[in-house]
Amino acid sequence: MGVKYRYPLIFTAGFLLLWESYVYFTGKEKWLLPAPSDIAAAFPGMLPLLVEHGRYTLLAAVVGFALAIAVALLLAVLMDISPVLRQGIYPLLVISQTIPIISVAPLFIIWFGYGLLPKVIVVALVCFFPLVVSVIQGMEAVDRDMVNLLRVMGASTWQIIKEVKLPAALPSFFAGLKIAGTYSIMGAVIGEWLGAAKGLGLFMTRAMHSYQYDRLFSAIIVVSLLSVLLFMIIEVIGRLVIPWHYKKGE
Amino acid sequence: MSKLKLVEVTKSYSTKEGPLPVLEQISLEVRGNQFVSLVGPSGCGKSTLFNIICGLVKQDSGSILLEGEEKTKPGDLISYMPQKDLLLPWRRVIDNVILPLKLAGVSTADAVREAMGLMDVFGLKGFERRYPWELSGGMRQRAALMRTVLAKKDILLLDEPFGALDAITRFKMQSWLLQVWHRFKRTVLFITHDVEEAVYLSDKIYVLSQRPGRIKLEVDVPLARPRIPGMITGAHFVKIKEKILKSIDA
Repeated sequence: MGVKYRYPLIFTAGFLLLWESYVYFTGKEKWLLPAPSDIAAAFPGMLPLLVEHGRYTLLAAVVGFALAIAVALLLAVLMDISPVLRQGIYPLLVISQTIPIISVAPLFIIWFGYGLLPKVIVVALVCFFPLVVSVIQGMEAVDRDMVNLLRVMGASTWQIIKEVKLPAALPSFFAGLKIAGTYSIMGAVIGEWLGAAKGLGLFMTRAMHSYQYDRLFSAIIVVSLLSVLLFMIIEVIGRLVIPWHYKKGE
Repeated sequence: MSKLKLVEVTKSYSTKEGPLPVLEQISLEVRGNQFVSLVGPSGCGKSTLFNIICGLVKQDSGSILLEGEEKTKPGDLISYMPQKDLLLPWRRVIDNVILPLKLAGVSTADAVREAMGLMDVFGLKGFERRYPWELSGGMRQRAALMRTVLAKKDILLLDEPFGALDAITRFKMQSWLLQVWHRFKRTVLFITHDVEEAVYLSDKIYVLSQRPGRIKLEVDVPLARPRIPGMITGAHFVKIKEKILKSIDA
């Protein structure tokens, strides 16, 4: 452990200690607010169930995330090629983000059933906006002189996008991926919350309704861990894919 | 034979305060295999002139003749090396220099084979697999020049290629550029604000005025080839240099 982790660890430990002592000294009932030690004690017993449900949540999150990436790249490229599409679609994209997901997600369940699909759609809806915006901004930030140079070399519009604009957008795209990646698990949980046969969202609603808050918090821990894991995977891939972005400053 | 001819090229940009004249009645001629320089103070519209020759910017009036004809796609005959090296940071040196060949539809294997044979000439042997950020300023410029030469166009437009280099590197690069030019037999139009550099390299020099850029002076440089560094202090060299400096001051 390097010095880098010292302060995050100290502050996290401090926070848990505060929580623990608050529950201890106020004498809060365990079913109302479990202390960190209660959650820690319940967690190992919960693990098999959490893994079982977590698999479904992770699957929905990853598939939805992948779908969002594909749609975002396609839209960004189309919007870059055509100013008409760009002006026409951009407001729609913004409006799509103002719709409360929680109000339309039940519709997806009515339309597509209790299976994987409605969750995937919720995840994709939550994730694709930061992705589209990050790709478009990245493509806009490209060095105009580079584009001109390729134009003089006789490059076509598509060649310019492929050779210059998309690679130039990668650092911004990866920033978007990190944001969207952390949203994706949460999106899947929201989708499951409103109706599912399996998944952490379902597990959490059940725990909620039976006042088993130590279970609820155990599930929250898994959701957080999965989100952080996705974030770290994206960070590692980013370092491999865009080495110039990380190396330039060193 | 006239390779590149500009006839009374005029350009102004529209600004809020009205039209801003940038270039006024620029006429010049570069014959085949000639090395011609444009010298002028910064902001005299030199780069605008290059953009017009490349077809990136349209002149208000006047014409640009390539091999005696006006071309709709000047890029077919011209290869352009801008002030910044503009190497693509996501491509290795070898992949950067073959870019114009790739865009022209040459297979990667053929392009790489051709480029590898020239790495030594451009002083990049052993650095083929490096990324641009791992190279020194001089090497980056050499890689950029190699890319320009590999495009195999008759006319090279070089826009202050050595402007950002330190004096010693710069001097080495000038001698080296002359060798490359001898070897590949191309027509060169070279922009610089360094009078000595222009005299050392060129067969003919055009002096541009402050904005709006007009041709103030046309000077032939009848010094023998190959040029050697000792010439710089010779009486003939100094006389040409003085003539140009006087014209710039006037």
